[in-house]
Amino acid sequence: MNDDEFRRQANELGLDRLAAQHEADLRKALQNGKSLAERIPKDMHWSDEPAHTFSLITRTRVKT
Amino acid sequence: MTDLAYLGIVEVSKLFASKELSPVELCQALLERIERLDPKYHAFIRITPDLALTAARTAEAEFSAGRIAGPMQGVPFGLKDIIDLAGIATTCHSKLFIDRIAEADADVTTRLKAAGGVPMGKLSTHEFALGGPSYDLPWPPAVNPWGGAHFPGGSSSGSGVAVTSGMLPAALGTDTGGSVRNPASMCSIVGMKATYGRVSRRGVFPLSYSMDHVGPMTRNVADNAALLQVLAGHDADDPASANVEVPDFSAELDKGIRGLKIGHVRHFYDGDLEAHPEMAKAVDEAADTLRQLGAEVREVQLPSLQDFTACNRIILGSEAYAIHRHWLRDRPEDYAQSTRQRILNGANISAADYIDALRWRSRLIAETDAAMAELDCIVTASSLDPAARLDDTVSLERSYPRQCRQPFNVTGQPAIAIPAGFSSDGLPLSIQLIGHAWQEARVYRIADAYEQATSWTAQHPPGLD
Repeated sequence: MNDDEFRRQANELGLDRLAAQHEADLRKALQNGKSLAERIPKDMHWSDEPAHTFSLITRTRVKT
Repeated sequence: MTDLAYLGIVEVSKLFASKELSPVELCQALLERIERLDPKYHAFIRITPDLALTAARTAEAEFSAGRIAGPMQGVPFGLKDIIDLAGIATTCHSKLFIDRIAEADADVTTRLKAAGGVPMGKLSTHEFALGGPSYDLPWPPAVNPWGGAHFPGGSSSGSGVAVTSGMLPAALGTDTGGSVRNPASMCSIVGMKATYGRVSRRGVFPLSYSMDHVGPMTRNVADNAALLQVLAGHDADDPASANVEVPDFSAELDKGIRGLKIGHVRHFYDGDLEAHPEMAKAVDEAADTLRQLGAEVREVQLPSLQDFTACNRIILGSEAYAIHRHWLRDRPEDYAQSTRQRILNGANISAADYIDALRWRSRLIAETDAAMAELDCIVTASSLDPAARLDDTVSLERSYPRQCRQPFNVTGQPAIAIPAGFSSDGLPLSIQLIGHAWQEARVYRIADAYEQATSWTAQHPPGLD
C-alpha cells in the first residue's frame, strides 16, 4: 500500500492524528486484520446464525 | 511469616473459626509481606491498607460474635485493576485512566465484600487487559517470582504474581483470550475461567463484550472452588449474566475420577503448533496420571487451534476497537505501543467479517460440543512454552500467542489452568482442563484429583523469605 492510499484509509477510519511512529502500528494492524479475515470459512450457508451472548444459556435450557 | 503467607482460603477459614488466627493478624502479616516483596515484583498498582484493616477488624468482630458468613470471611483478596473498587481509581494500568475513580463496586467486589473478604488493593495488568508487558506506562510490568526476571503471564499479571508469592491467598483476574489462565500457568497457581455468564462483568472495564470473563486465581483447587462460589450468580444489570442455578462447586471434590471420560486434545500442541518439549511431556504425563487415577482417557479432535484463534481475534479485535477508537483517535500517544498495536488490529475488520466470525463461532461451538458429547472433560496444554525472560523481547513476542486458551473463550466453556510441574530451568509447566458449559464442579473434581496425585500446587517460588 503506498503512502497516499494508506493515509486515505487512516483518514476513513478517523485516525487522522497518528504520529509517524503510530502509523507503523496501523500499517501492521491493517495487514493483520486482512490475514485474519482470510481465515473465515467460505462455505457458511446464509442460515448459519451468529453466536449470540445468550447462546450457552439457551443450549443449557434446551438440555435440561 | 512463611506459614501465614501460604495459607489458603479453606485453611484460613478454619483457623479463623477456631480462633487460632485472627483476620487482623493475617491482614497485617500480608501487608508487611507486600511492602517487602512488591518493590521487586510489581504486583500492585495500589495497596489499600486502610480499607483492608477496616474490613479485617469487621471480620474479626463477626467471628467474635459467632457470625460466620462463609469461607471468604476475613480472607484478603486483590482485584485486577480493571475491576471497580468504589472510591479507588480503576486505572486499567493506563495513562488514559490514571485518575478514573470508581463510583461503585463491581458486582464481584460487592459479593466479596458481602462475604467478609478483605480488599488489599488493585493489581497490575497489561494495559486495558490487552497489551503486553510494557515499560512505556505509568507503572512497570509485574515480574514472575519463578525465575525472578521472567514474564508472569498476562493480562492478569499482578494477580498471578501476588498469589504465587504469598502476598495474597486469592485474587481476581479477567479472561478474554486466556488472561486468567496464562498467569496461572506461568506462576504455578490455579486459574479458572468459568462458563460465560456465570460471573457478572458489571463494573469491569470491557475488552470484548462477548468473550470477557472474570475468574478466580488461587494456590489450590479447593480454594478456587470456594472463591468461585462467592463470585457466581445472576446479575440483572449484566446483559450477559445467566439466570441459572449456582451449584455447590466443591460438591465433587475428593470423589476421585474413576470411570470419568476425558478427551485428550494433543493436536493443539503436537500438530497445529509444536509445544516446547518439556511442556508437551508434562501434558502427556498429566493425561497418563488421569488414566492411572481411573479415568478413561482417549485422544479427540477439535477444530484447529488456528481456526479458534482467528475467530477469537476477529471478534476481540472488532469489539475492542469499538470501545477504544475515540481514544485512539484523540490520544494515541497515551497508549503503550503494544496496546496500540493490538487494538488497531480491529480497525479495518469490516462489519461483514465481524458477523461472519460470530457465525463461525456458532460452528466452532457446535463442533466442540459434538466432539465432547460422550466426555466429561478434555485435557490439553495451556501455554506452549515456559515463561520467557522479560528482557528477551524476541522470545516474549514469539511465545505470547503460542497458547491453547482462546478456543474456550470462543466456546464459553469452563476452563481451568493448573500446575503440572517444572521445566529443567525451574519454570512452571501447566495443563488445562475444559468441561461442558455450567459444569464447573466436574472440572474442579478432575483438577482436584490431579492436584492430589501430584502436589505441584504445594510448591512455592524459592528465595522469597
